[in-house]
Amino acid sequence: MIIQWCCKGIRDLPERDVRQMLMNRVGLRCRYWIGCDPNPFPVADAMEGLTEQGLDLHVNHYDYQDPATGRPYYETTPFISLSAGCVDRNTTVHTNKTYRAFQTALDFATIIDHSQPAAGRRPGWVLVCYVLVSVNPAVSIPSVAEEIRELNHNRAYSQWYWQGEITAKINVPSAQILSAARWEPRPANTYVATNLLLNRRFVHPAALLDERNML
Amino acid sequence: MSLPDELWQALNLDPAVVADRASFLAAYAGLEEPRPNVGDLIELAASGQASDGKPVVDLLDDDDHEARAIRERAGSRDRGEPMAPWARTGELASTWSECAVARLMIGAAGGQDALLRAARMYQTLGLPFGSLLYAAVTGASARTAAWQLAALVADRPQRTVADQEQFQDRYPEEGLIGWQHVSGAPTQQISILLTAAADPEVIEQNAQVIADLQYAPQASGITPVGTTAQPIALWWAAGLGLAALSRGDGDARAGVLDQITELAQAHGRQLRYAQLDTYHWRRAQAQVDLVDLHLAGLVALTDRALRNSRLEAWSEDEFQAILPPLARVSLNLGLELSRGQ
Repeated sequence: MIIQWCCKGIRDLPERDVRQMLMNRVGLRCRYWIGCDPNPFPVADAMEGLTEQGLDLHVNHYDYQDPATGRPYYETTPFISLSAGCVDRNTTVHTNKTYRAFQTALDFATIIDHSQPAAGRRPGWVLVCYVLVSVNPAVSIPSVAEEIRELNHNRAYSQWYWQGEITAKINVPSAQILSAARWEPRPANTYVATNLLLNRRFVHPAALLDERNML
Repeated sequence: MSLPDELWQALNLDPAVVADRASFLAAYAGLEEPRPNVGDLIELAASGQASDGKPVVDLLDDDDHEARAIRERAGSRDRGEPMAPWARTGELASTWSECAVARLMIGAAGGQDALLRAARMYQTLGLPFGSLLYAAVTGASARTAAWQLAALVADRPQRTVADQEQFQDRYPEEGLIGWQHVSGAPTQQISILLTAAADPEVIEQNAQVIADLQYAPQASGITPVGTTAQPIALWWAAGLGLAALSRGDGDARAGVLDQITELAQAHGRQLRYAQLDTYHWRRAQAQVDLVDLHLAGLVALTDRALRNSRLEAWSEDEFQAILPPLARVSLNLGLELSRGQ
């Protein structure tokens, strides 16, 4: 098991909602769960959706119109995209290029409308959290995230590789979210951090490490 | 000056999207992460020093005494740099060069300035690609061009540890990435050759070295170089052609045009294939660089060499007669760099 630090870019929610996310124990929820509000979240249904096919739809065909529900996949996905950054290797020109998690998250958080890339920028939040990642694919196990960026997992080619995706499932508990920073685009090509919320109920992953004190 | 309408039509890109990329990249490159940074916060959490008090505290709220106390605690700790110096510098260099390309494409202010920022950062890393960009924008050669050219011929890829001291005496201008790693990279070798070959003084003082380069392994090598992964031999021939133009040898012009044509066709093909991935393409996030900066640099340097030698300079009409629009994107930008538009 690997403890993987990640970033998550989210749109400009009110500060109270983000504070709530850090305090309410549930933390960051998948779109399926959010879409169920205010009704109870059908956990079993969501876990049914933890399949390789579902993961492929989430990563590579987010807009896919599900014939069964008539809704785009992103409205019912039980997965949550995070970024841990990655090194993209262009073998033909012998060059590595590094993509930072923060850049990917900030880009996503501040785009006004992903379907209209010319629409400009707005403020957004970048969360820092950690998840547990299995060394092998384990898509139906909700407690571990899937390391999409790990090429040796032998999954199908993804043109999103450079986003350094780590895919969490169902939710990322508040205890695993360290902080949330709100970034605001300003004139003259600058971004300013207007809030940096520290979650003091965050649980450091040291407790999960393979290290024990002696008696 | 923005790219001509004909090229925008062929690119099938919305200039507003390219403008958004330029703006985002510039903002990202200049962004300062707030203190305490993520590394500081993780350390605080590990030590348990930030766990008492309100469940959530805004560390940027100056009126909150708890926030001030946490900031002070974080500030009193020994901080390591969150990233290795070369990694952050490399990231910024890439960000500024991508920003420069976007700005130059839309004709926004600050395109050349962004490219010079990228050039300086690549130079800080010790990558000759920075000198190539610097020469392409300013027309001035980098101080390092002469010794790098000589070292390229003299050095062997495998150097023993015992040689290291002597090496440092000879090459004091090493960057964050050592010359040892740099000199063996084909992309950097091309950058060294193009930068040196554009400087008549360097060529004159290194006539024998330039002559020897015709017989270097690179002259017949097939290692792919640049955005379009064309063989190093093609770039090498272009570099030697540039040296000839810098000496005023007009007979080299036709050969260099052939090499530019071949490289431009390859880049045009790559752009055409990249357009098939419509999702990334319309967001100006294609996996192939929209502008091949090596090629744009070659065009800028050869254009200046032609004009300085009072030979017939390149013209957009000349390129238009032999190349389709997508193949001319990098060439157009190269001419802009050369002519300071």
